[in-house]
Amino acid sequence: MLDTLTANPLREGLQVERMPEPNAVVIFGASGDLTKRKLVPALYNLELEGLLPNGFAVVGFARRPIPDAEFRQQMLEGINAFSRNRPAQPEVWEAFSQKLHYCPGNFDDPAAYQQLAALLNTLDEEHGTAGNRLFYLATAPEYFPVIIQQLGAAGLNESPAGGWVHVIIEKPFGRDLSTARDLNRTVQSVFREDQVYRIDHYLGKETVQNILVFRFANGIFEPVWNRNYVDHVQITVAEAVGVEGRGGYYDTAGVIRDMIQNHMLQLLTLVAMDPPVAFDANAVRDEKVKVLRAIHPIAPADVDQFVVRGQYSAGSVGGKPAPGYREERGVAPGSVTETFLALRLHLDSWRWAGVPFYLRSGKRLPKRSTEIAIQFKQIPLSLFGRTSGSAIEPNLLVLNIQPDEGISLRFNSKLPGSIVQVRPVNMDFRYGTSFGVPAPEAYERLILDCMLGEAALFTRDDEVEAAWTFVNRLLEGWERLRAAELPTYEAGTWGPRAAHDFIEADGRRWRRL
Amino acid sequence: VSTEIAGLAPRLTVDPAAIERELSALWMAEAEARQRHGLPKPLSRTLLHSLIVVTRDRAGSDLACQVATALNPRQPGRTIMVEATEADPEDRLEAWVSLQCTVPRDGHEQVCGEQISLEARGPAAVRRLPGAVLPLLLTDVPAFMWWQSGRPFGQSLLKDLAPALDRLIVDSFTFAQTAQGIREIQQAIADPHFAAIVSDLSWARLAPWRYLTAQIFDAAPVRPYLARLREVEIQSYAGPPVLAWLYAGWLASRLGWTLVQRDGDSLVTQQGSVIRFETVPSVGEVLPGYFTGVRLVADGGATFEVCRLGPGHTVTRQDIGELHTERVVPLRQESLTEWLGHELARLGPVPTYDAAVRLLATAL
Repeated sequence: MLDTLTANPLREGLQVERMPEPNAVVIFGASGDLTKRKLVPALYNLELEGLLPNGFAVVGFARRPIPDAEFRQQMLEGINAFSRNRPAQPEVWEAFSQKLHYCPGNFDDPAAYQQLAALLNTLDEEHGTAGNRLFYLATAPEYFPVIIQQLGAAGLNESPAGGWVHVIIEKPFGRDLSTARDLNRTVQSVFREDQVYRIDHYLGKETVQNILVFRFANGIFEPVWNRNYVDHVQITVAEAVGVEGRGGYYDTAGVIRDMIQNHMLQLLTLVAMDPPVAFDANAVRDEKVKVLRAIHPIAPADVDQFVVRGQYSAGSVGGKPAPGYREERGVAPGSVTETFLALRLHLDSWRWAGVPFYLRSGKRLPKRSTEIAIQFKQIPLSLFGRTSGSAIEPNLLVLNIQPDEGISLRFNSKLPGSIVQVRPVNMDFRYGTSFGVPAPEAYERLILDCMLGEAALFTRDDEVEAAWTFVNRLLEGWERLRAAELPTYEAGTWGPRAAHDFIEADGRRWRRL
Repeated sequence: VSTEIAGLAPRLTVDPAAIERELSALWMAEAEARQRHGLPKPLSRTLLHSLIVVTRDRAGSDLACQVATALNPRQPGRTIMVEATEADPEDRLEAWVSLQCTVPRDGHEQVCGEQISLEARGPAAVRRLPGAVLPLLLTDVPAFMWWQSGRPFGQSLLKDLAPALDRLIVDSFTFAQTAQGIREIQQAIADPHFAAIVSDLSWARLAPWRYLTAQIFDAAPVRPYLARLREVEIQSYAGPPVLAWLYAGWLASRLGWTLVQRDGDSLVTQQGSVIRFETVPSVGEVLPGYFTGVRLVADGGATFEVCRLGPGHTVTRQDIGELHTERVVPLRQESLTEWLGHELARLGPVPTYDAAVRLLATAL
């Protein structure tokens, strides 16, 4: 007997085994840069790939009253300028654009949400969106609570047709532990946790997801992935760019909120977590939260023993002159916001006890590079003495996240010749040389996952609070040190001298990237 | 992206060890050239599979060579081109090797694939071919055979190499007797001694059509109409009927239908539904026999359509009472490279293809 009610029998065996139910995506902050540069191009690319359902619509919600036609034109310009598939294909755009609508309104105006509800009901009729809703909060963070509350007040937190309602909340999720908790409380007063998708676009990157595949689909790494074999781990997120016109925001955030609290701690959890019992959202996130909770607390008074901060001064990057941070537009002239941070942390777990994790991130560094390097312990005894004037190098496994996605393993090899000379060599695996297929944009993957109800790549409430718990102590410690002068580093260098002294005091050194 | 032959060694009398040495020399020469030109990254060798391509003649070899070369950037592997001409008075088995590298765009990696061409002339040389091919298969990566044209079953080259294959890729679109060919595929699938998985480029040709049809019924409110389908009209350009047949076999097997009767241009199912085949004249660059669309009609008149819309696009329409929806999506590029790439990406069996073939073999 054909069971057509529970599963689609035609879907079996197809390369894409799950498709989203029909739905309407509502973007709050539709006039913003993110919508034009990332979100609508991502939806358009999903349509091109045939990954969106037939019953589909998009509603842009923002303050400025503009007709649908103008909204569509703006989105077309965004696709033509920023989509990985550009320009838009006329045949596809013509049909897709008819699914784009605009709803003007103030974020705190209850009447605007009634209009939105009426429009969504109309779209259910006209586009077959079946009562399923995805609300995307792409506004400035101060509007998150009011939008959430107004959605609840208008009854938009539940589907009128017994379908699903999901809400994606952009970063930053809070400014500290207290504001993150407040926001969680507000969100959970309106939505159940399983409706909430806190986005960190780093988790949508193909190579970040591959960390889990690399670790848990290969049997040879797990046995050595612990304190018995690993000397230390270095996680680097280096940016060559400065604040890029976001000086106002960045000056209130710094690298700690912009990179460490979210992206870098996420990388830490993926590299340090235990195997989950299943590859589902809660099982994966349970293990990630354990890592965050295992971070050894740093007392505010001890912050300067574990952290080095820095701020870039004028210099040059890539052969071009670069201004100092305090000369950037939107940055206070006497700003003490850090643009570089190096951090050592320990995990209180059986797997990682005694293994330091070094994290560094900064702006205006010599080049853009994100990687995780696992340095294994030195061999216990060298049979070959010192060769070529240097000691035998320990093995190193590097997971390159960007820009050259891949994995490399350093091991030692004999130089050809009649005497024994040992040299380290790299065995490189590059995604580009194996799978020359372009990876989807992170936003495409994450929006699609949200439509499918797959939450593994989104941050859970306890996860975000656990990350802030660790970061909060650093922030408290810095409050005491605010008056102190920040070390500076010249733009285009690998951070302040203090960062090198910091790791060298442990008998280690930063990787030269 | 363009491709250049990075190195081409002279013709050799077939000797697997000499072939491997020539290939190593080509890799080394390419790596040294990169160093000389000051390229920062070393050349890395990543090969995902061995692909034996059996061609019928020089034109087939040239075409297969183009396809394999175009696939290199995303699925690099070792391609072993086999051109066998039994009806030749000579007794000659020769080989030549080349390294084919994609010239990368800025910021992209250089990708190289290996190609070994074997040319056998005369019956004795053809008999020696399997012994020449086997040692050239890469260790521990999947081995595919693409039988470029015609029906391979019963051919001695396939018989001898089949135990070493993970997958045999045929192209039922090239079969002179389509129904007989489908029955032979069914026999191979059912044969416990034929271990290789059989797949078909025609199945890959149908992939977007199966995908778009399935997508209509992903929506829970629409899904119950699947159990109420009464008429299926499959339209294709005049030519080989295999794509329309395979689509019918797929739909029927997925819906649990039994095909009981072949009646002119239609199939009738035991469940009372009718599948009609219509042909339209071929136009433009689209080849004869290619799919142009399908229309599904349910009890009560609800209709669902997936049709070609000009070159390169499809339109999906559904009419259920007052609700009329329409969307346009690009049709994936229709080329041998795409279809072969689709098949090389799969490693396991394809039960839905097997089920479709099984059903068709009994009805045709």
